Amino acid sequence: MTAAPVSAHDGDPATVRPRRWYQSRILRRLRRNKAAVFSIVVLILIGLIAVLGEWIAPQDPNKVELTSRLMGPSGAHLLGTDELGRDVLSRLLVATRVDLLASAQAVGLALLVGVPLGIVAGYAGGVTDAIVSRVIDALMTLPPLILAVVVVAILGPGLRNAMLAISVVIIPSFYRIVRASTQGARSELYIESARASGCTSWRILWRHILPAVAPPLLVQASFSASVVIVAEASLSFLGLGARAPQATWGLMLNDASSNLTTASYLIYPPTVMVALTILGFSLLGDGLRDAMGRQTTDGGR
Amino acid sequence: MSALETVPPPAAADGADGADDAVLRTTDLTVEVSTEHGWVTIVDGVDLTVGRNEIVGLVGESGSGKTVTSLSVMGLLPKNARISRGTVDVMGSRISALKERQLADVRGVKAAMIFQEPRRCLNPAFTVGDQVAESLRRHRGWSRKRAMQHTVELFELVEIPDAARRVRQYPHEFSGGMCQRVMLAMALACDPMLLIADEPTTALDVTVQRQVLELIRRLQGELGLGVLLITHDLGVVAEMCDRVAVMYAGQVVEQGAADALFHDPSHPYTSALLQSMLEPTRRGEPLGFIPGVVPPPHEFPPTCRFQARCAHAVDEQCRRPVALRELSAHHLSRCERAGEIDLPGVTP
Repeated sequence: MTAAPVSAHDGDPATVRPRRWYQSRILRRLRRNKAAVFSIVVLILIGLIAVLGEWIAPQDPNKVELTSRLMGPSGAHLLGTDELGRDVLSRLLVATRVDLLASAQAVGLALLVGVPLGIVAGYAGGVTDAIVSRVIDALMTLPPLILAVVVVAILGPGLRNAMLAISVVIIPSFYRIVRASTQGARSELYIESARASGCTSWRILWRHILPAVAPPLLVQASFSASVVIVAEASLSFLGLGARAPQATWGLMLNDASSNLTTASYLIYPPTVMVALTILGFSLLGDGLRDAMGRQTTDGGR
Repeated sequence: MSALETVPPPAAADGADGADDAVLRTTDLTVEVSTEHGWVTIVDGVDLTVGRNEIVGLVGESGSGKTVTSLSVMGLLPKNARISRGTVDVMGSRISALKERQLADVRGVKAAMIFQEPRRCLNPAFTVGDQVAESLRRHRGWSRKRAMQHTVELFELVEIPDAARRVRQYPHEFSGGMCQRVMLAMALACDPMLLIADEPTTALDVTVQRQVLELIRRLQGELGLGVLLITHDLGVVAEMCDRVAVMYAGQVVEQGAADALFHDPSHPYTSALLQSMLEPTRRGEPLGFIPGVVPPPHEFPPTCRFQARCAHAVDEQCRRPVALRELSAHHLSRCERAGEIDLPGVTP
């Protein structure tokens, strides 16, 4: 093998820098979308609360003060107190982290299972695809709530087990999106030409398929995050998720519901937080979908 | 049917500089594809040799098996196709016996391929430089930075102006011709000795075609490549190739030095192809054509496969399968009547 033919190259090697256009163009488009910007701001705020919650909480969220039960909003308790006299604002702030982490767990686990399965099934096709797809189809037939009840019955109650059940429920959505995108990308000629230049299947999956799959996946992950937040709230509300004295939005709703007639103000804080978070993730999903879509009316500027 | 044919040993069948100098040698290459008619032979006993520093043309109509032949050389046959007989050797590697994992180590290093539609061969989501560098990173384990620097040199090699800037652009910023240059840079990144060009200029503007062809020719000369040029454009073959193999219905029907084959074809199919070429010298004359189409693979006749469309077919002679036979040194024909019929070629 002869040495590579080299012609004189005077250019500054420093100018040859791999760039990250991909992120930058999408961010540029995202920035021009007001709803997306709003959602990002909201999510950043919620994220900050999740991180700082313990420190900015005015009081210990679990401190029981039976002398000041069910007190409406006041200077001492900005959002009032619940039936055990705990400060609602503090509980709300602390619950944010629990909810976001739980949501990340569920989505993360679903991604971890759904994406590799989807890519392998989509790329390999044939028997592999048929088998995996049938298993996933079977998963889709499970009613989410019943599944959660079963999981909790087997593994015991608790937020983590509830999230496990939820992640099983959302695996099919990731799997199907990844599989479809992979099938679309697989037949591209650039995959063939990558094979012709010696790329192994793994390298093609990593370098060509995964990037093609990533945009719809991100959108789906964002939507799923909001679904999981709702699911957490529902399951905790039903007593299948988080358990007292842990503070989560769902549990707070549960507490609030039992005192709805006497202390209706309790229902609003967790509801608003759940709504804002869902809105944030949904709008972000919409924004991402628009920003990463291939066809745009503005020429990608 | 094909088992009846005896084929002369490939060493005698080609004009390569010597047996050991061949970068590509297929011996009795037979490819089957799975269809609703069962396994059907689509490439039948192809003996092809490409020597170092030579351009071999592979011509024929659509459906004649040119592309399948080239894909099997790269080990890129689709899942529903298999090499059922014969061997493919590229620079000492028996491609036909390698596993997928081993094939991946050979592709790009010993043999590389460029395709018909250069723009669709580039991933729109990455810079062209990234994609060329990928081959270097994959095969040589180079760092991103080192690979990119070499990529700039490769771009200069394939005459892309302003290479240092262009490597950072995206495929959509390149014209078709420029994309094909990028593909060439990608193909040649790891110094393969065999380049397979599958209709490299068919999708390009006529004005750009010539530039790309001249580039291929220049690179071939400078790097001493063996090039297998697949095309249905005989004009391109006449200009580029040292030797030509004409394929029809999965078989090589004529093979020889380009000059000899063009001026004195000895298979009616070759002659008919030449007559259907547009040529300024034949202005005013009706353009030749070949009636009918290439039969689908499951209907390849057990006779001479071209018989049904041949103007020179004689029943009793052409009813048998015809073997490729040597007419003169390095000139082979699969016509039973070769030598007894006078076939027009192109005037020198």
